[in-house]
Amino acid sequence: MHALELPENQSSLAYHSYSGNNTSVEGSRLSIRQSPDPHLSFAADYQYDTLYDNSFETAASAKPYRETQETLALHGNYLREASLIKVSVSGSSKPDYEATRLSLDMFQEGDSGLNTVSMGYSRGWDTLEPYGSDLREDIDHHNVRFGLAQVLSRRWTSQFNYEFSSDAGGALGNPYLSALLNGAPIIATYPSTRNSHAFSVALLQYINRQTVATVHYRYFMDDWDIHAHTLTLNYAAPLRNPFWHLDSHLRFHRQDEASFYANNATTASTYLTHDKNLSRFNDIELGMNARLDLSHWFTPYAEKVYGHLAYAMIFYDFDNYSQIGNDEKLFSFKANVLQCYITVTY
Amino acid sequence: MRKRLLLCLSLGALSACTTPPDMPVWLAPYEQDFRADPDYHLGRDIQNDHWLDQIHQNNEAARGATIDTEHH
Repeated sequence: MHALELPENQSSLAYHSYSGNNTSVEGSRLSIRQSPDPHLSFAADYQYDTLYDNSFETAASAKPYRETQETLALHGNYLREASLIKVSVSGSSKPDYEATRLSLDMFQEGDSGLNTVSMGYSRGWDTLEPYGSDLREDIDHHNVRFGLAQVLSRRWTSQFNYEFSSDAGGALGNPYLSALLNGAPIIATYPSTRNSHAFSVALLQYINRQTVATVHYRYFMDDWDIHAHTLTLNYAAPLRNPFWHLDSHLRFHRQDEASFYANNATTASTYLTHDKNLSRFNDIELGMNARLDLSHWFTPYAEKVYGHLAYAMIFYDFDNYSQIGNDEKLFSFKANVLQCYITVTY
Repeated sequence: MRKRLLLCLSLGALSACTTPPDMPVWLAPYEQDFRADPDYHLGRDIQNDHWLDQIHQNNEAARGATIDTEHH
């Protein structure tokens, strides 16, 4: 029995939204996966989002309140016995930002499919043209990754992943944010390179049919002096009604601040920012994904049809970030993430 | 006696090396039926993860080494 398989012939249509810190995103995503041949599979994903930004941080910038973003990704998979090669190309376009990615991943299984070794490389080219500026900056991305998935026993499976990312360009930070020097806003400045390493380990326990518990831990470090720990606990099980399946998760994230981050710097330095994403903070996420099996309504037109409703709450608590003009109070906010989608397997 | 012991050890090592590659050491093929369960994968639903990953990347500094839900 092989662990490596081509993706199922499946299409999905999703509506998703995010709201938090006076920022919201609403959008939809269409995915189509089709295998014309037992060895080949193609997939296309199209995503359209509308972004509304009324946050305090960008209020003084030229960034508009409303933006739209389109993303198109194409994937090809080639499976030959115990090897799988995946090629992906994607493009994303926003009025001030364009991104292109090209990826190649290879998977090789061994020991009758009980382990799978993977490696991949991605190359990215971005172009930033900030609102209210004639500036045009190019950003290059390189990404190398390795993985090992190992079946430990009938009930336990593990996965190890390592990823190295390297970014170079003139705009590696948010161009609409400012820094604070002795209480006065100044233009934020960022290093022009960033190299990062991420290691992760995951353990899955197969408890029963359709009942799975997963724990995933990731350690991240980069040359901006950011160290981060992320722990995700996941439990998925069918409900008493056989048509319903509930997937719930709890996620903890903790990170240190970048070396050039300051809530209010007292001395000038080459690089300085007041970007809360680079500050020291933690967030806790609680989420659920309810799946309803609708297959019996669509027989014999589709093999499986599922309706999904997913919701997650994320609580952000900052240790050394406060809004400009409100230095006394450390910032915190809650975000809501909603998804509603239908998947059809044929 | 010493020669016999060496011969036994050599044969044992050779037999270990020549175990057919399609014979899992600790998990028989008939015990692998659980892998056909559609909910058997490391992580959650791919569609759900995709949107949440975008949120995490936008709001946090860490990135990469996410769980691979599609190929394992």
